Amino acid sequence: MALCHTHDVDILILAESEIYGPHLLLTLNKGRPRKFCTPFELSPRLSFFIRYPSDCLKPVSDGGGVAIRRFRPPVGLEILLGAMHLPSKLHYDDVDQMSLSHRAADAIQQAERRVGHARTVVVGDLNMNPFEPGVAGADGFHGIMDKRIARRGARTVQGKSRRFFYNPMWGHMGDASKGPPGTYYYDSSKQVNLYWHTFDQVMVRPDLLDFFPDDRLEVLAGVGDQPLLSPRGTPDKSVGSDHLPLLFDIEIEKGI
Amino acid sequence: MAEMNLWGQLPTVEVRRTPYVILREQAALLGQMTENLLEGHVEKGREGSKFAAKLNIVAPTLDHYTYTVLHVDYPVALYPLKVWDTGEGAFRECGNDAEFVEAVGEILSSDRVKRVIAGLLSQIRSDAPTPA
Repeated sequence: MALCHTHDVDILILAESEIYGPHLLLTLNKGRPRKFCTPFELSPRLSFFIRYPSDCLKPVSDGGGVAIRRFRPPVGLEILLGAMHLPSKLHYDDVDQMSLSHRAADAIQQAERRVGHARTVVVGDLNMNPFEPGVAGADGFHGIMDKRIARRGARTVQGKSRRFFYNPMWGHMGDASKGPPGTYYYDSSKQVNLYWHTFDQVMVRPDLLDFFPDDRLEVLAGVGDQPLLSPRGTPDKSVGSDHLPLLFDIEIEKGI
Repeated sequence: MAEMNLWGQLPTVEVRRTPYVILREQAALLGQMTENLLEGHVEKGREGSKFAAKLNIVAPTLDHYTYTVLHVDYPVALYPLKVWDTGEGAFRECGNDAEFVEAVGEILSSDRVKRVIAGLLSQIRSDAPTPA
């Protein structure tokens, strides 16, 4: 709640939220002039709360931790919003994850064909890092780190044109990044232990690059005075979640 | 010189219902049961070296809103195959068509899918114009 108020959030997307939706709405809206509402919702794992009229967010498709919505604000740019909560590495191997990210990326492309544009934002817990094949690979989301290359739109791989996503999360990994080294912390005994993972990501299609200010993207380590990290510096589930939230801006009113 | 048959005896082809056909039957039934307010659609494709199909519930009057109920990947030999239950977020392995039918039945008759169907029907009916 504090996060929404502090950052003047217009669209809140939660994955696997254990908070009962109506209770959250009551708390979010208490004493607030602009109210959140929940549009018609069938996603089993993702919830949307918006500070726009409820018919601004229309469901396009759901399935397998993928919820695709068409967002048409009263004023401004229409966008396609793909919220993701893909399966965990604890239960699925790399091949399964690749296969499911291929399907998720395919669902996004089908939705783009249906709505007739590719002003698409993908956001959520992909349970994969930006460098993994399911995120970076052409058969997956094809999320790349360089805006200039993303502006080319697509590249041909094995005879098929594959559209890019620009993935700014490449710049949000490690100590040199602004904010925490990742969005999720997991200490394992395996040979390779990354400790920090950037499973929570936002990616935009080239058509939205001019509306996506990189410097407005943050991995939040705290909300107001409340840290979301424990004294050890890892996400503190007791005050928030074991994943850190992402905050970003799409300038839908730009260029009106 | 007489032509030689280098193919040998071709295998006898047993006509089997593929997972795709089984899903299509269920897709058609959904339309019948809901007076076509909802439609079942099956999409066929490839997933690596395997065939792939997914069963969608489509609501034509809700801008063709699509809910994907399950995916299936199957090899040329059809089995063993993997069914991805999208609501449960889990894979199921099926060794033969009886196991596949059982798995699909459990998914389609699950409370989760019933809730989706009920939610869509209620939305469609509430959007329908009231007779004058």
